Amino acid sequence: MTRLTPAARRRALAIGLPACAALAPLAGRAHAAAAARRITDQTGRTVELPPVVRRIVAITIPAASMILCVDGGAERLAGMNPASRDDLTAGLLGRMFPAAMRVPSDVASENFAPNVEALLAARPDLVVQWGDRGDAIVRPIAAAGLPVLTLRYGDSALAGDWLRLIGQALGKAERGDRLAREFDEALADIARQGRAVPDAGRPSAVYFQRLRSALVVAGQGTSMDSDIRRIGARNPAGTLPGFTPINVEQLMAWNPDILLLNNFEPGLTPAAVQADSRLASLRAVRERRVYAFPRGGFRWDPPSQESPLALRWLQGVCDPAGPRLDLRAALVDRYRDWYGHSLSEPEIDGILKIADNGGSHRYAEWFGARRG
Amino acid sequence: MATVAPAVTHAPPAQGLGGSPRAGWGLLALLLVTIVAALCAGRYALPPSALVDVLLADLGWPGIEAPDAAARIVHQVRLPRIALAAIVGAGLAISGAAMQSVFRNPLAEPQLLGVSSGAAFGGVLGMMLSAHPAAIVLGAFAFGLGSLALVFWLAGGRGGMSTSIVLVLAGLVVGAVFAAGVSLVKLVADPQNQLPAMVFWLMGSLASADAAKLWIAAPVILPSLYLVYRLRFALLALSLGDEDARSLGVPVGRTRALALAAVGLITAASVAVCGIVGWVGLVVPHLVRLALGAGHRMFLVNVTLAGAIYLIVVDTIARAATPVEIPLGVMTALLGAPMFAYLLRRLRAGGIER
Repeated sequence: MTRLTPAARRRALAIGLPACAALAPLAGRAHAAAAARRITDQTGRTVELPPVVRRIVAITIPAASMILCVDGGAERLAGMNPASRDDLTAGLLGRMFPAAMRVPSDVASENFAPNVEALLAARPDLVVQWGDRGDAIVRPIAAAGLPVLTLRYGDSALAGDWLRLIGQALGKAERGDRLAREFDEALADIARQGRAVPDAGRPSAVYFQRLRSALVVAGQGTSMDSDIRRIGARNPAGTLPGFTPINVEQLMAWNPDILLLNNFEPGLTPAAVQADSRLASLRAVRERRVYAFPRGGFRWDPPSQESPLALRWLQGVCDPAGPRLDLRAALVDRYRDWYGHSLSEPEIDGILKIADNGGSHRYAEWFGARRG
Repeated sequence: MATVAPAVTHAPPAQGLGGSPRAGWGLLALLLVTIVAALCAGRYALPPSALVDVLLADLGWPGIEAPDAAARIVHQVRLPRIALAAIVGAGLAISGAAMQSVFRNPLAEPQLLGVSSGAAFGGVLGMMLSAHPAAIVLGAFAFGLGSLALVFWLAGGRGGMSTSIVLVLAGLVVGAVFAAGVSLVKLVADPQNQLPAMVFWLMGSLASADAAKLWIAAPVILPSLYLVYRLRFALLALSLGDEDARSLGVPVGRTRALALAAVGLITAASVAVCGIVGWVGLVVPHLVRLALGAGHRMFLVNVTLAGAIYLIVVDTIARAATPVEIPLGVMTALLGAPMFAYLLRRLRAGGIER
């Protein structure tokens, strides 16, 4: 063997070490194969898991906060979607799990395309990925020899099974199953109450996935459409496919009772909508029934472990009689269980966006802190 | 290129030099009819009586009060949109006519200059860097002008302007670079929040038309329109060939530079206010040429009016036909390409092509 200069040796080490690190999990898995566990994921694929999952990567955006919720910490979260970082920095999640801020977010792009080398460097025992967005984002992970757990999107009710599957994968099936059961029961209860709303009393509500640069509403096949219908309201956009651009006139022709604002566009507040002169003759604007979705450990508009509370909130703002339970108390109770966190009053105000929504119809009365 | 050129410049000789002023008055009347029809059309059912009330109330007719919703729809939705469609349509159509003269090629259109790609890049960059709606307009306009300057610089300034092949290549290079830039921005943009908006904006839409956008488009596009109109005889001479134009005393390089500057300004402003709307500059001049003749005495006036009518009609379909807001660029291509194919068949059937 030729003699290496010290500099060349350092270089060789620098190249060689990560390569060994990347190969290590492959070797580890060969040993574990004998005792592999099998679970069936949401697209019906059989996933073989090592006896203990020590490192898990979440490419689907809600899975990162869901893993923190099920596992009670960030120790096993080995990688996440770059969009999940936003949940940590802008939402409460980062304050509840400061360790999660150090989790790498280079394992995939925001549109879920995996970066296989970064994935291998994260040495995961399991990767959570969407299963209904084409094989192209799943196959490279499987081809790299990593087990993939695939989830489906489209209706908030699907998120109950996410809890169940993540619980099983992390070896916390009992907690995952209980959280899933509570999730399913809450959604079934809300759906039952929704069905009981008489046809004449159903308000119409439109969710804006985008309002500032264009008007994009949630139609058929979106979780927001299923949520609006679940709580007993009507979605006039429900006949349109997916997230669809419309114009102001179409919105005026629908003239919905309630406008629901997304958690994605910066600066989108009920006040900004109230100030838009094009929208001023809308019934919802005249009656100030414009509400921005809250944001807790996750955004409340898309599905997550927090969907039961999000749906209670939605039920509350759509029902002329207001919410059917004390959402602030429910938040304190649930956050203790989900995240082991005791919410302060200002934190609750922040989640429910009391400042932004405070000017909307009866919001402070329904969701604000009781004074005195 | 050279074999096709005479087909255009000497195209249907039937009605002499671009028809009589009568054709122009006819188009003006058609434009007014189109505007009234477009004011009546929309997703919100507005009875013509409400429309009349709104317009009478605007004129200060005593004792008439328009319903609030109707007034809002007319003033804040339909009127700005129709006005912007008219201005952008007129601008793009006259740009196409000017490009076809400058390059002596019937396939020339405003996008050839690379300015729309530059403006598109500026727009998506603005969208990525700021959520404020003004960022799109400012970015698109700034980069549109920047790419125009780049094309002029690449084509070698005053001297180089005399060879159209250099200009085409410069436009191609600038367009390609900024098109790649658009792809890059789309790749790194936030796909949950920014990417869908970018994709929709790039397909072109007048859905967000308002008075502010009119104030951006009109002061740029209308003077540019007038500039091209002033150049109409020089452009006619240019379309005969550089040598012929020079022998007629036309300053070839200067005419070309001025016309392209006007085209660049119009393109940048139109992309800034409504994204990329293709095919208008290609289809409308040919339609006018076929129907009314190509002489530049009235030709550019006819093209301007026809462009306004065309885009108002297309945009009215885009906003009123379905509950979904159809992207304008999709509609202009969907209608424009078959129209162009039909023209092509007619030209071939007429035996003009050799």
